Amino acid sequence: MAYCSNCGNQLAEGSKFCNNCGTAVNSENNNQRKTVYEGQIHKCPNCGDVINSFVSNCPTCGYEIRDTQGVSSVRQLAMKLEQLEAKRPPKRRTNILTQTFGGGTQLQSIDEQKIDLIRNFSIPNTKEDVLEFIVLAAANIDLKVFGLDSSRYQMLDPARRELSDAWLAKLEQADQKAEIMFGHTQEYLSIRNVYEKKVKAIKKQKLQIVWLFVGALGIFFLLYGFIFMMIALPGGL
Amino acid sequence: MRYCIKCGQKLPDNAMFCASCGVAATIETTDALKNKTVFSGQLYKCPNCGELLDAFVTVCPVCDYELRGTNITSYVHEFSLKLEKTGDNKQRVELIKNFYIPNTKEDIYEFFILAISNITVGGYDEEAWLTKLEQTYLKAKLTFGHSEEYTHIKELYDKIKKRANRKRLFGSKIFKAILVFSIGLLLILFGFILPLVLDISDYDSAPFYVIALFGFLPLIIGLVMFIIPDKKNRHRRKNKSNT
Repeated sequence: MAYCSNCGNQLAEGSKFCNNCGTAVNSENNNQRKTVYEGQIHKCPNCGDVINSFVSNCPTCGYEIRDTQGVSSVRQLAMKLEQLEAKRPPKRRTNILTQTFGGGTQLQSIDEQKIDLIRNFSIPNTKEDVLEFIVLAAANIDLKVFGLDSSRYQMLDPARRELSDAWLAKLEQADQKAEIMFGHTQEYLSIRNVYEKKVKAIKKQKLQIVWLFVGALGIFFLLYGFIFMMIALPGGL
Repeated sequence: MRYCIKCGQKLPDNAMFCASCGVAATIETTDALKNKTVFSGQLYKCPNCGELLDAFVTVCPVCDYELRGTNITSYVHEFSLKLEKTGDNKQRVELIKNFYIPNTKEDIYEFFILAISNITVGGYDEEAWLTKLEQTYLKAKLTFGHSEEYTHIKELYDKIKKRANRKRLFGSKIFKAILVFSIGLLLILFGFILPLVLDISDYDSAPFYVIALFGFLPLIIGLVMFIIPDKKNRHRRKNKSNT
């Protein structure tokens, strides 16, 4: 518990100003240098050598690393998503009528929160975290919802498309971060590859409808011309 | 009269420490006679060798140690935590528009990335993120000057701006309506004028007239699209205001 240095009023935790006299609370002493060590050192339990991320065997002693915990940022996001999911109200029973006539196009607020969480969750600036998020985001993008059946999926579960969009945003974030962090190195190129592949696949899915339409139109006109040719030509029917 | 910041004990004016708990008494902040030094920010060091580290560094440049398990140091984290707590979409939009960006390379970059990805996806908050993009871009201009960082940001900014403008044009309802309408018009013209130009007899030009008849369908659909407002969008907005 802290007190105001001007009037002695008891301060609520985390307050930046005294609510009695308005004096700024200088809880952080900015007139002293502060040093922060970035992250922790991960060491091999067998020989004590420093271990990089994405290493399954210790480079010095060959010990296979086992029973490690996942990256904390990814774990944190998963936990938050789980907590949101737990708050979801039980599903209302829907009949065929509401399903076919777009009764399900409403986004639940839980889904909205989930989407916002995914889109705005910040990724720490380490190779490990960025790679983990790339993998996670790429896997969570549902290609089906961009394709021909998109309206059907929209009807059954409106959040699916928007969740995929949110993960796409996350993928783009991780890609941009990787570009700043790694420059144009081999590491970045492999990340870029994952990103571009996914974007291309989505584009392909979206173009499906256009191709179908163009194909149908082409076949229609071909048949049309053919039939009239048969009728109009002197030797025809 | 002053008070101890830890226990609330009354302190005499010249006290350096609190008599009851021993905490150092803070010097009056209003004292303008003394010049005050403030160190901005913190020093970030490599946990392995103690070398100073820049933002967006993944491997220590001196000892080659790969950084792992670092905390998020930028304000983006605070921003996302705040956003989680606000339930209302209107409030969220306000928060996005007005959240303060500190003048560090890290924060500017982070907010820039966040804004870009949120604009590409689109959604109810797209406009707000465009404002944020504008903010960060101006900040980058002021903070970085004409450096390499600025050119990188400018490149991205121009790309996003172009894409947003294109989306506004081609994604609009009116554009689609005009497109469908003109397809119909084209078919009708094709069906009626081509037989005249080619000078085909009335009997043989029947297939062209049929094409012209087909052209009326998109013509009418285009007109209807033009008149009827965007039903889907209206529906959406109603949902948002309910939640």
